[in-house]
Amino acid sequence: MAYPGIWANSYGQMYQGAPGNNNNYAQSSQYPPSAQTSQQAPIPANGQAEYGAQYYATQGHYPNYHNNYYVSSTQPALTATSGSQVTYQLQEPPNEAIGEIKYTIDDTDRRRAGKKSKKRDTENGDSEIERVFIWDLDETIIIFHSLLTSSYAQRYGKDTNATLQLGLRMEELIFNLADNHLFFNDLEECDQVHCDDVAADDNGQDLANYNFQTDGFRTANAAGAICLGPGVRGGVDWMRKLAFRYRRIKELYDTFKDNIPELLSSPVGEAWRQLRTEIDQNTDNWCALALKALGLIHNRPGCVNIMVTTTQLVPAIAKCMLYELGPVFNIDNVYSATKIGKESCFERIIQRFGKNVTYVCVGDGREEEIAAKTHNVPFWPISTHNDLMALHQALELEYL
Amino acid sequence: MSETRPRYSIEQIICLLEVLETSQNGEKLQEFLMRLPKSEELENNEAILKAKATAAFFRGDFRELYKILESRQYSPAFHDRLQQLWLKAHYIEAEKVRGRPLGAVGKYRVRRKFPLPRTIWDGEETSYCFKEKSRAVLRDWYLKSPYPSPREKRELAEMTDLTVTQVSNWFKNRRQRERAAEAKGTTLRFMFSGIELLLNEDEWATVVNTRGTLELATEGNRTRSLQDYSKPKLAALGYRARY
Repeated sequence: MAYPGIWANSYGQMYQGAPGNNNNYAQSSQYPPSAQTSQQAPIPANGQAEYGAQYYATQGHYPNYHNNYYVSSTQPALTATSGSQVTYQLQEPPNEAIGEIKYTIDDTDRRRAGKKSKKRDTENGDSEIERVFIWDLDETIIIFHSLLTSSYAQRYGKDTNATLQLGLRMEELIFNLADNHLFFNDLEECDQVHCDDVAADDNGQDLANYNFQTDGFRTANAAGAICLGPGVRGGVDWMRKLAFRYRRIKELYDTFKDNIPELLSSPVGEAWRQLRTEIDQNTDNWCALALKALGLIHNRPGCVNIMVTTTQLVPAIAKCMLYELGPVFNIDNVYSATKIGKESCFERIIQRFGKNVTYVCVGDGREEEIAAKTHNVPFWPISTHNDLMALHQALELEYL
Repeated sequence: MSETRPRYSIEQIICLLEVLETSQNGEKLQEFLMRLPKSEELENNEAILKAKATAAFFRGDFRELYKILESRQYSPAFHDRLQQLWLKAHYIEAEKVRGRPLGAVGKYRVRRKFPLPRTIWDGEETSYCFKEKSRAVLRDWYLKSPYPSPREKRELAEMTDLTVTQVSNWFKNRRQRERAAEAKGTTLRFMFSGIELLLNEDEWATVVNTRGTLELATEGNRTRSLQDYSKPKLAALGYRARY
């Protein structure tokens, strides 16, 4: 946000109990199951607003997976129930000239002296960032969990068993990658929020010939070494070995993010390629749609993609690799909220990039919505392919 | 898939507008607003109206801005932003008339001249610098003892989340303002010779006119200048008229 103080504060407040506000986030949970067509329902070409009941009636019952997100009892304002959810298409760009811009809101807050705020906890490159997009992973960028719960199949009218199988195969790949290459066996009990969290304990030694199997990390683990998070000396030696593992993970990520089959090695590599194609078909190219928006952001100067997921860090990294998100997410832009929750992750991110930056949160669920509102971050809800397309259009037209 | 034009929900529109507003992208904000279809839901949505108000501000169309701000009652969550737009616009207009930037006093006068409309203001008095809680603590303490010791000031600073200097200044100003208020009140009473003043529990003094000035004559027949007595104290103790 460009403006600390009151200019920034009210965005989140607007969604708390303000009557007359149209906050229809959870509309889809109201829809009864009905026969499915894929959501490429014909959309009228003209720009008139249309009551979306017709559009949304072709969607199935909102996935069970998300029901816990949309229970309305505690937060009536966020889950206002009106009958239909209206959506709008953009009309043609205006012919008339736009009024010349004369004024800006002067930020008289002395904290913002000059463009580069000294108080920001900035590292290389972070100080150039002007806009941060905070993405949720599951069911926003990738379709994975809902394959397993069949909710995706129900919603979009796909074969339940076939999608389940796809989910299971992908799950296996994820855990294989995580265990075999990303030390998940070692790290499961002590996974971090961010890959650099234990870097302080690293001594920087060359890992080219380091043997992770026999370095005693596992024995220490087996002996009940408790991982209490970064900075706590549960054994300096043990912490250093932990740091080596995260360093190796970072190296692997950067090396293979554009070339997964090489890491997986045949025949797993081929199986992965095949599975990806099938998932793409089954999900009507959901991930590809998300990647269009992600790519646009990644290639735009001053913009960055950050991920905050409730998956543990190592499996999340595995997912990124397997869904080929490496090119648009640097590994040090991935945060796992398993231990500290999304709200705390958002706080860390805002601490990192500063308050003079504009943030946008993109997600499908309640937790990120609430985290965004708490920090006055605008929230872009994703629940259908259309939402990804709209996001991409908005980015393309430079409205975001 | 690329042929179908995407549809935007209200939340997405609001998200987008918020980003454009806070990044101060006036051109894109206006362009987007012009591309929204005509719809009652959109016309009446507070967040969208706020965006329109902001757009009007950016292009200097203050008549339109004021019109939007006064057009309907806004929920409290929107008040801060809308108030800021109102004030900024009025300040700018005043500066144009004045020909130079406004100082704090100038702005104060603008605020008095163009009070916030009730559509964007709940009528609560001007916002104070210190939190209401802190001010309440200080007020309570003052009524018990207007002269806190250094240690008490430190305690107060801690309780109120202020610095010792701020606490000291608050007390100093408060005492000064009390004196000013009292002086305004008591000067009238002291004006008349023949008036008696209760100096302390059992001592009365009469205001006498000596050599053209008013003085106090005590029972021991000493005359004292009125200045020797602290006015608030005298005023607090009492007076009577004896003619």
